[in-house]
Amino acid sequence: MPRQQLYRLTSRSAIMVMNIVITLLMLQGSWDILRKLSAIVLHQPAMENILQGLSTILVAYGLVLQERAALLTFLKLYPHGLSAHQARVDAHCSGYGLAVILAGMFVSVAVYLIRMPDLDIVNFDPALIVLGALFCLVSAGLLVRLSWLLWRDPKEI
Amino acid sequence: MTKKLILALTSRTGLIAMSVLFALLMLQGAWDILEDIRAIDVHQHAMEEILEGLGTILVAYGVALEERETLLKFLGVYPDALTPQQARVDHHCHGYGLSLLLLGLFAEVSVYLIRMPDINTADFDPALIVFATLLCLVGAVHLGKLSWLLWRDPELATTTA
Repeated sequence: MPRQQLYRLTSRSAIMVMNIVITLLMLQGSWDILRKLSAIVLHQPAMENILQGLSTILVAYGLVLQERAALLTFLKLYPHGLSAHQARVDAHCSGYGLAVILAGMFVSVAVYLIRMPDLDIVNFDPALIVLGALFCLVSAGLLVRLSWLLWRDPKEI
Repeated sequence: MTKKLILALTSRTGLIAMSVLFALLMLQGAWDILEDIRAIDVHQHAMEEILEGLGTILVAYGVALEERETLLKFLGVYPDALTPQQARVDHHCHGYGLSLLLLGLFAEVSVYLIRMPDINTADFDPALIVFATLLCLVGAVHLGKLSWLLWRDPELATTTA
């Protein structure tokens, strides 16, 4: 793939677009769960599947963000393309990527705590589902904040 | 206030409490599986669910431990609060976090090897279940050892606990 295209795919504009898409996914998933919470008995397996899917997306995207610098080095765009601006983008992505990974992991843990048959926590299932949805909303907040930080950076890549 | 809360949650005491809790979860899950291993035909699905859950917990907690230092930097607690004692905690957490992460991943891989329909491992299913259970037990031992290392650090008791 040409270098210019790789730069575009990993630029702050592309990251902001991806952040917005994933944020909308988180909001839609959380809304879908929270509005049906009163009928959790009917929808619980679907809610667990939504949370598991969202957590996988968060972990995968978080990892890509966190390792942006390593990825660009691997793709031989660094050190040649490493500017002060790129370093700032890397710094933002690394921190927020880690936070998004952890949030995704905790969503996953909430789902598996429900599913593990050796733990008798049936009474807490709704609380764990809500907790998972809240972690998704927190991740959406983190992605919006990352987009804001990238957007306000004066120099475009 | 927020920084104090973060420091309390990531303090030696907080980490020891979480580690002991997760070690007990590992022991309880492993006991539940090994107790019923002779009736694996009846309980295999439940055993897989337990192992997948324990694997996910190990991976999540392992990542949080491994990246403690980065996380505290991201949250604005470091470099102000970075003391030699905190650096020692970070050092322990990094190594043990990585090992927990790997153990959890391999436990999950064992479960997925059983579940993948294109790989005919039916004869080895009990062995894979026992293997993943042993990995969880090793995870419990590592959590115990990390708690011990954090607890015995004498200087930390007066600064962060």
